[in-house]
Amino acid sequence: MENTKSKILLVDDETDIIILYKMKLEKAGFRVSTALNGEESLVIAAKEQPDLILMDMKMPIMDGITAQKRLRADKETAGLRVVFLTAFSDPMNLEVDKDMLIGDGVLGFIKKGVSLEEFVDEVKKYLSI
Amino acid sequence: MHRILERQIKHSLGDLKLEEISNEWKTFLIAVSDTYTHGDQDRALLDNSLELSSKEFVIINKKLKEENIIIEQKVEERTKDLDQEKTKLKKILESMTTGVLFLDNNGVFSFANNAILRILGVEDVSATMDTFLQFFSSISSPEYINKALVGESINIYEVEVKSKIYSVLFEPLEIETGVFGVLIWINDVTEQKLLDRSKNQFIAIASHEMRTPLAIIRGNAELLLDDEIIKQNTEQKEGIKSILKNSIRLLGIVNDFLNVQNMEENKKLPKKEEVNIAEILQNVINDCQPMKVTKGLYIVADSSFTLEMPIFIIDHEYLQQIAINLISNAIHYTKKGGITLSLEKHADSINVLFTDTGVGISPEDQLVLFKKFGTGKSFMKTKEYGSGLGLYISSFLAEKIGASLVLQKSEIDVGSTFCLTLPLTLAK
Repeated sequence: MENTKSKILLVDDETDIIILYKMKLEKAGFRVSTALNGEESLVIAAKEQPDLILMDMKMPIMDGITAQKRLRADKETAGLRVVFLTAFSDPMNLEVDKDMLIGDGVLGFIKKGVSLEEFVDEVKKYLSI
Repeated sequence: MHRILERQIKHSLGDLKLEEISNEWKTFLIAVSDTYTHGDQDRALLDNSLELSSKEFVIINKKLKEENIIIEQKVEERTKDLDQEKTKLKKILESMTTGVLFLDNNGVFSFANNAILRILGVEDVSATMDTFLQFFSSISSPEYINKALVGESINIYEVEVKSKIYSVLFEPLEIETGVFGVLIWINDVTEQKLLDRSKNQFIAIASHEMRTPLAIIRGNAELLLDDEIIKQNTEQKEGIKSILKNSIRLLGIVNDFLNVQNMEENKKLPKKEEVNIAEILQNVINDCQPMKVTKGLYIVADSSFTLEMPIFIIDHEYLQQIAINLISNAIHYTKKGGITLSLEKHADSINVLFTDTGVGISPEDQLVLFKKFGTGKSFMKTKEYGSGLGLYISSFLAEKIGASLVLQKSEIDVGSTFCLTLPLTLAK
């Protein structure tokens, strides 16, 4: 399958989340690179050109929404696709710029706490869009 | 002979000697004289009675005057009392922290208390109405006043003006003859709302912060259960399974908290869509099957599901969520047997019955059943338990779509039946 060779950039400030999801995604056959905050993700995204960026929303130094804005603003990364990885139950209810949460490179959300199987299924679903 | 008659005869006939006239004339004169005498007597009687009634009149008049004085005194007292009552009422209205504005039956401003002047920042009372309309220009007050004038009470729970939050109530004042005015109550609810918001924010943050560690625990337990060495070691496998099960349970509780919070905050109205209730419920039953695997329970729809049912115009997600909550609740509290769903047709409603063979609910627990966190004492008896929000959420959702949820019957160690009533007014 073409999908399973896809490159994924995983961005989260929780190293435990990084370790867990990286392990599971690699087991499922993906190539995974990681970043610990939004700022780091910009550099790696530009260099690696991943097929999908799994972006945490709440991170120190630079949050996910700001990183997403910056990705759009840079022509090198403007075409990359982002899925927000979040522990918020209703991200659309957050008091943030709604335009940054839908459309324009953002494919959707994956909620933290779903089973690893569901997590991989979601990633595959977003890759096939 | 009557003296007047005597005088009249003397005047016109001169001295008349009775002996000189005929007997007939004599008889006639005597009769005339008698008539004069009778007339005198009648007049005397009349005079007498007139004198008597005028005396009586004087007495009655005196009495009346006396009574009038008493009445006047009483009226004065009552007026004083009334004035005092009025002053008291006014004092009460004045000292209230709630702003009160009174409009007469034509919707014309007639009274405002100090609180409202303070809230609106009005110095000249006559400007109250205009200032009120300007101050709350974000709500359509004239429309609400008109509605209140025909007896409708309208409550605006939250109006934000100049970084303060107010509630505004338009209340018709009615007596038997109809509406005689409108009271507008204005409350500054800023502190309550801010407290409410910070409470909700706390729940949101706490739940968010709990979800990430729980996701890590759950995920790692899942990874470990996939490991070949662990798969062969029963003891370790059971331990990790337990970690997994409990992390999922905690995630469920966190989700419940967030659901309640979202639900209570949600100002969106439920969707209106055509719903085949039997189909939706059958899907829920299918989705719930994995939940009971470890216990060997059954979850089934009985033969009533083949009956033809009306199509309802409701939000299918609400019905789905109510059914999931009720079934998963029943699973939690049922050790053997299972859960049966059935549909009942009534003249004005369709009832959905959720019957389990579980631990049952004691009468005292039934009292708190639908309250927030109302798991009751049976909470202590079962191994698995939830956040105590399931039934609260379910009845809240039922109400939102115009349905109602009640406990139809329950017997300890026999089971319980919950009844969701969908009125036919919701049907297509």
